[in-house]
Amino acid sequence: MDSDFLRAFSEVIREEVAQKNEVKLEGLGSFNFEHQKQIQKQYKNGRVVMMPPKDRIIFIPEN
Amino acid sequence: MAIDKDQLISLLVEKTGSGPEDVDRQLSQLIFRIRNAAEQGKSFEIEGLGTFNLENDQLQFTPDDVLETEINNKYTGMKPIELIGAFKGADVDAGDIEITGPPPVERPKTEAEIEKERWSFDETSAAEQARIEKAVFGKTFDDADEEIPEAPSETVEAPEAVEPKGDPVVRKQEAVPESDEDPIGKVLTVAAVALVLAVAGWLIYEWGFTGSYTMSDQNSLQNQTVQTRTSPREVQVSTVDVTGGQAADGSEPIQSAGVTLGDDEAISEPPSRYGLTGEINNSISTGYTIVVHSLNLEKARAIKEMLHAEGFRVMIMDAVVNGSTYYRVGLGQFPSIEAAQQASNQLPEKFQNDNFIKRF
Repeated sequence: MDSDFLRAFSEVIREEVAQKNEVKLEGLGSFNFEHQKQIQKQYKNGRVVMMPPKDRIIFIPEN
Repeated sequence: MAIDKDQLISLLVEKTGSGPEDVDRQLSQLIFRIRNAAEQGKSFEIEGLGTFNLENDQLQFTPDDVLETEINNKYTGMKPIELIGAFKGADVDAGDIEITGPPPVERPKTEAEIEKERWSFDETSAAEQARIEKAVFGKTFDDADEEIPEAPSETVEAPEAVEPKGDPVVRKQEAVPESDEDPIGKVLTVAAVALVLAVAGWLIYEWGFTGSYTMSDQNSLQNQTVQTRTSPREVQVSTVDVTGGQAADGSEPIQSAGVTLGDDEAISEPPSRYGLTGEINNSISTGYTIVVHSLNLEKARAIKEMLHAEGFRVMIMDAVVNGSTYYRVGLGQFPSIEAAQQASNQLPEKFQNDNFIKRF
């Protein structure tokens, strides 16, 4: 397991997830792409703000 | 689409150039080591990807900042927008449509629509917001921070800009000079000052952030507007020139930004590793670039020629999106996302709102 392999691994995960593909790792879990819509939210001090939408990478562990 | 182990291995074989057995072995080893570290309560970090650790008996993954930014590149840099006054009315409407109105209201609209609404709302309310913020004295100016330092240079000009409104107020004050403690007078003064500041702020915003027309254009534009506003008083025509001069002063930073861009070009020819202009430096293997177009190969090539003739450092990258290949035209080579973001502010206006930063 050398650094070239790790770099390639990171790149593959990044590229696939960016294309909204799910990447399964047997024995660990899977990486998924998730889009979060903009949401309205209230801070404790009463300010109401609209949070921008967001794209995220999430990991779902295997059970 | 889900990538299973076989597909993952073939992708890794493509990337690394080693054989499938070797990749399989290394992948199993990696998975084993991640699990091992997690079971021992340690975290396992992969550079450029993120960190795995065990939390409540569940394996958790926290993406690296760089990865997070890249995945989120469509929305990077967007900030929460404060909802005030008029906009709340719109929310009430939305609440009526949905039977229950919990705080996270998601409207059934396309993203593009929502974004458009967002930004148009942002612009129209900017002046209003500035006014409200300034009316509340003693409050700190969160959002208006950039505008404050410039404000002093505009104070001479600003009162004239709102002359039609400011005038009656001033006269009223003169009419009742002895009623210094009159609260109404004070309130009027405060309101006038707030209005002046708001207009000044808006004007600065206009010049400072959308300044792509030339300086002479700006001046004539400025002179026109000021003249029409102050026309009732001929005396003020002389001061119009002063404001014109100040406008020029105020817009100087923009001009100098343009100059430094040119300088960069001159300097970049022999050594500069990274930059927006000049020739592509092939010795740079990784970095960031500002993508301004995504199209087919011929069009991308044509645009590359055009932009290169304008002095930009242009590169074409191919990307597979939903099964078809696009050719992305990127400008500049930058060592970091921040540097690329900074440079993207200097791009011609047509690219200003329509670009994203990508790693190469």
